[in-house]
Amino acid sequence: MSLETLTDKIIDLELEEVLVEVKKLIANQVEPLEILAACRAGMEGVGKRFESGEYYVADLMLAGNIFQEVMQILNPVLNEGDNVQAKSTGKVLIATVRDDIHDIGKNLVKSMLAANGFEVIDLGVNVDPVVICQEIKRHNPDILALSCLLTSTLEGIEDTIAEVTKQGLREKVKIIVGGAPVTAKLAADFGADAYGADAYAAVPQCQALLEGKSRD
Amino acid sequence: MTDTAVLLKERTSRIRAAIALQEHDKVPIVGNLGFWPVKYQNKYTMQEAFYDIDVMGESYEFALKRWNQWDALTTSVTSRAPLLDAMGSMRYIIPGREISPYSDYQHPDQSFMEASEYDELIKDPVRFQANVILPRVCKRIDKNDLYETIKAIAKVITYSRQLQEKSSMYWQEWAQKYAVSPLMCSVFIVPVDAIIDHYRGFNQGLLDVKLRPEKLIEAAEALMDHLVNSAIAGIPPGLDYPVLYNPQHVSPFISPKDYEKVYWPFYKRMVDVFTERGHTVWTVFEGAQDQHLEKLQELPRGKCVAHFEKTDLERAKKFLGGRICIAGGMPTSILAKGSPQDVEEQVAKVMKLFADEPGFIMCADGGLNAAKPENIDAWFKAMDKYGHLGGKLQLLEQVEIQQAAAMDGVKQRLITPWDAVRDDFGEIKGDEEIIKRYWEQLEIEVLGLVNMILQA
Repeated sequence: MSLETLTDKIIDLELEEVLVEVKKLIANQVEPLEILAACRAGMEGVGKRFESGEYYVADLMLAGNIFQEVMQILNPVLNEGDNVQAKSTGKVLIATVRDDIHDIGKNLVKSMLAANGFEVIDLGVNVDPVVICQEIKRHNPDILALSCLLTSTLEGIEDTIAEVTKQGLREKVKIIVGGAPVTAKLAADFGADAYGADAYAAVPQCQALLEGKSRD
Repeated sequence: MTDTAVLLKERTSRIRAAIALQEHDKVPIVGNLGFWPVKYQNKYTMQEAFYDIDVMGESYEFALKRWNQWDALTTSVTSRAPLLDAMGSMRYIIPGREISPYSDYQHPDQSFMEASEYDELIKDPVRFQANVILPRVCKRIDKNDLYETIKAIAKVITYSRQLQEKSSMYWQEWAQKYAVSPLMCSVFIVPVDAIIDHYRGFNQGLLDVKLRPEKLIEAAEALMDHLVNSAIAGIPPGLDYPVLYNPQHVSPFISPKDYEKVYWPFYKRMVDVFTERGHTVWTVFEGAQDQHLEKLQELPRGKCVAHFEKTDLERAKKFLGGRICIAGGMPTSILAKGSPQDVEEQVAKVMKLFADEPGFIMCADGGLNAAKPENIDAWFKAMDKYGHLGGKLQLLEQVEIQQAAAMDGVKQRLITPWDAVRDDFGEIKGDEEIIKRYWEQLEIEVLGLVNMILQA
């Protein structure tokens, strides 16, 4: 089996075959970074199928799961010897806002971003705006990703963006928002830089934010 | 008949006509108030409302005094926190604990069952729920501490009776004063939603759809009859025109292929049982479910309501118009964050799509939650302006419930039938029929309560 086949198996969500193949490629001394690149290409293919309406959230979750299991096999060899670490695409700080304890959407976005090469720092759920600002200062992320599920916690997104601005951090970080009650209009009204309409949209949106342009 | 009684009959008839796709005068508007009246009254915290039904009652009264134009309410007036506390339930996050006392209660994603336990669930789903899941969810239900367990159950019985009495009292009062009534009389859950929401958790459950669909289907099959019976047990006797509420949580997240495999067959069978019995089914299709619209065409004509949250209503009308009554049309985000003008524009847009024929109910896509009062005013005003259908409203009479047809193909609604316990009674020297009759009567009567406890 080749790296191309590995990519295809990830796109087809063949969990067991992917894991067997990764182990074989490592045993055949294929460069771990090349294996990682093939896996990321697979995840990109999964994202395309999601965008085209062939895959749904359950498929994305399985893809995220496959990628995590691959990384458990790959991480020890990536960290060993002279292997150069995979370069992160960008650093994202992610949180569900104050008074909202829902994390399914956030976790899915986190797993999709990680699979696409982002370093993701997860602050968890019900995170106060002041705490988010402290963490921005601590981690200096490129992007802040905020999520909520309830209409009544939309204020948490508004208040967090206001706090980030108040503390003079707004110019240092791009902000993307998402979650069930959030719309493109609300995202713009709140002063966010981007809006993730679904579980995968955050990936191209964050890539665009890093390139300094807005994807509509 | 008083003016209010006439108005109530008009409103009920309007909703029935919309669901049955029959001629009527204007598009009905249904309110999913939830805990919003508490926020609107701004006197109590959500925590107080979640603990005290009289706080809920006062807030509803306050809101209904200002807006009584609803044709019906889909909501239930309930304050369940003491009941959840009595059992030590960990299923919900209650306002004032972990989150602000002003927040809504929330349902975090938790897994209470391992994938390896599917066979145990399949073998005896109700006992699995009681013996395995319940003690994991509820700290006060403990097989090794029967005293605490008995106390918890006694509290649940006492408190749920109080809740039911107060709730009925409030609804009777509001029907007389404001001509509003609660639309839903019972709830049913499709087996896959029950398994994923109550046992496996959302993350693990969705992986099961992909990795072990056969087990999921077997478990769904095992649970079917119990879920049907529980819904029927929840229907108050003698209720005219019972609407069964069916929230769907998992379906937006799966592909049509998976939906047809693990979800649709069970949903369709349940709908058939209930509608053949004379009930109406109100399904809330959470999230965006455009991918399933074609399949929904197979639902029985004029007997269901498809309440959409984010599904494209234009597409929904294309697939279901003239076949299934559609509900929705008002995003809660507009009510919470938009202006009265935004509300009017939304109503105008939706009415342009639906005011051409019967078969639409206007309501918010979810609970009103954080709606601004001026937007509720604008909503009713816009419905007066755009919501007329030009037809005549005919007052409808009571609907016959076909009790006998109901249970065809569904196992009897007993958890433990007489035959299973008969030997425990030893030699019966008197009349076995007397013992059996009371045994089975109580089995039926407790089913609703047992189910409520199992889902705590």
